[in-house]
Amino acid sequence: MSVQNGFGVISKKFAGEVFRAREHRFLQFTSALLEYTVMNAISLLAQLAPAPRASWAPVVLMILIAIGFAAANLVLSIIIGPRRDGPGKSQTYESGMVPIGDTRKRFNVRFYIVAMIFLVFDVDIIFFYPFCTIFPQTVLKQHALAGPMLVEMILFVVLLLVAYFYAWGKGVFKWD
Amino acid sequence: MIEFFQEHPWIIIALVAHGAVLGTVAYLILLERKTASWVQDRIGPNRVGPWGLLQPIADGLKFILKEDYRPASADKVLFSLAPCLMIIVIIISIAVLPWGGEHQVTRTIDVTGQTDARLAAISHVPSVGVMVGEPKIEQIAATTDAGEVMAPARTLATVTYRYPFQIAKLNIGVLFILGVLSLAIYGVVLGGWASNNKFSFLGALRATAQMVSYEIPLGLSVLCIVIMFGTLDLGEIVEKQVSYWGHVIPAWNVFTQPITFLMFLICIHAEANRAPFDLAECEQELVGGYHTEYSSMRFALFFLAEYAGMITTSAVCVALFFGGWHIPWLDKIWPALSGGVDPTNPSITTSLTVCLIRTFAFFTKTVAIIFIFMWVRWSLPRFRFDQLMMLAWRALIPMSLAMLMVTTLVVYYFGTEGNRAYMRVGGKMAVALMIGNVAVLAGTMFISKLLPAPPETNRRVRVIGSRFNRTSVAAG
Repeated sequence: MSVQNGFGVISKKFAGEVFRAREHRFLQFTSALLEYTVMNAISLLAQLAPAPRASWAPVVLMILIAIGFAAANLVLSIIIGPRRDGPGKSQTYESGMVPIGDTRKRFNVRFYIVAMIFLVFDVDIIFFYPFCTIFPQTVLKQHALAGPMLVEMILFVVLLLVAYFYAWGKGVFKWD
Repeated sequence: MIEFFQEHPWIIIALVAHGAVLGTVAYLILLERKTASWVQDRIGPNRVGPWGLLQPIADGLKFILKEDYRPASADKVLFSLAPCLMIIVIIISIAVLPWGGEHQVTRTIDVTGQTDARLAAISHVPSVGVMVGEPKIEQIAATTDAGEVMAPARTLATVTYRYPFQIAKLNIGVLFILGVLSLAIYGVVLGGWASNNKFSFLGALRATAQMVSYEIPLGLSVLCIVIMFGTLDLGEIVEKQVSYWGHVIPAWNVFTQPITFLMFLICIHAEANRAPFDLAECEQELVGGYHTEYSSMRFALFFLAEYAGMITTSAVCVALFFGGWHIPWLDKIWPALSGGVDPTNPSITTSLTVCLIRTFAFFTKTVAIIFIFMWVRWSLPRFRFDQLMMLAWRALIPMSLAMLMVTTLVVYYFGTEGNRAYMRVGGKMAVALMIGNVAVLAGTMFISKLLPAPPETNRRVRVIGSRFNRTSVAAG
């Protein structure tokens, strides 16, 4: 036995006696909500005018200016500056001592954890940008989707908070 | 040649802005030293030129004349690439700052002999410009001395157009700045890693963790403003703030979102790696941090990038919270200053003078914010690393998330009232936002009392006999 929903067939895992009616209703509801949202979002996105005046040529010019500035400064100081070398001078600075060991060793794992948790949050924040640009216009037009958009964003933030408090509970935000 | 620059006005703006920003950076270093001397009650640099005004030039020359040394164990390519990358991304990030609003130009173009005079006239409008009205086309019959009409007659077209007085007008504006500025982390990491020095490496690690952590509340507090107006374009966000509540209070976001502004200010301090967040280069622990091994121009590039980054982030702060180029109350006397903004009054034009005055206002506000940076640097002691990270992860991120949700709710409930058709913040919405800000602050203070304090937190020790505790002097 397989169950039909908005997206077609749910996997066989849920079929049979194990599958409960409540879950079935929940899945049907969420998939219908998703379909409704996606279809409406497409129509909403289509209303947004493209930016006719946006131009990337100035940015390219800025990149060229910046590269030119950086390269010119480096080359200038290499040409003009003096050049004296020596065995002691070329050593790595370590407060005047002879350097001990290698620099590129293992370091505290907390930095990795920060990087990982940052990725989670930063990718989540990227989702806020389209929401924040479309939402005020949706509210202004009194579009039927404004309410569902708000509810979905609150759900999204709740999910984000679950991850946040999980990380807090695991001691990610403890430095000692 | 002049025609080419008239059709591509952003070329001149880009060159001038680039020069102005880097020139300002040189003088910001002098301002920093003067501020330090003012805070510490001394005179500061006063040898090179009057009041030390030539000091930045002397510094620049000195940087070029010094030896650009690279230690033997450093990575050859990355060691040079890191400072270049840093200054490149910072220079690119000034591209979308809205310096002077919109500039309206009326030009008369000779379109004699063109099959379609209108199309020929429109082709002279810059690609970033937008036409105001239709081009006026008139035939001028040139006459000889005898009064005979010469053929063919000349055709002149008069076009009026507006173009943004900024380098690039991108519809992703502030997202572009945040994205480009976050690339500056690569400069720090590569610099620290390539130096093959333990101090540099640790400094780079700390800087990365710090910049990465503070980027989240930074992005969230920017979003609080974005959701009020529904645009990412900084120029448009500035234009929405050019109005008044009750004809007196300028409709700047700093009044409706004071807590967001404070969070943003803290985050840009941390992003700039400056005191009290300068863990990455604290002299007492890490010598020079990620630029310990750098000298001469490569070091100067790091230094320039730090200050230029401050200009960019402060300018974004001004555009988001302080009305950008808006000069409050002056535009009541001289309406042209707010020209090009009010859709109900299209007759107001904006000349080059107005644009330059606005640019000056924008720049003055930016320097004022930078002065706060310096004031803070010379007044506050440095954080400990755990305090720094806890401030970001345990305070700023939940607060800014709450702030975003509060703003979303306010936009949902008050998003249709007042002058909202033009996406301006009406009176009710402003009051609701202010109440929301206070509520978030109160909620944070309340919850922070409930949270168990970490065991190693610094505790307040009673200082007996100090000026804060006179009674115990009398008792003891």
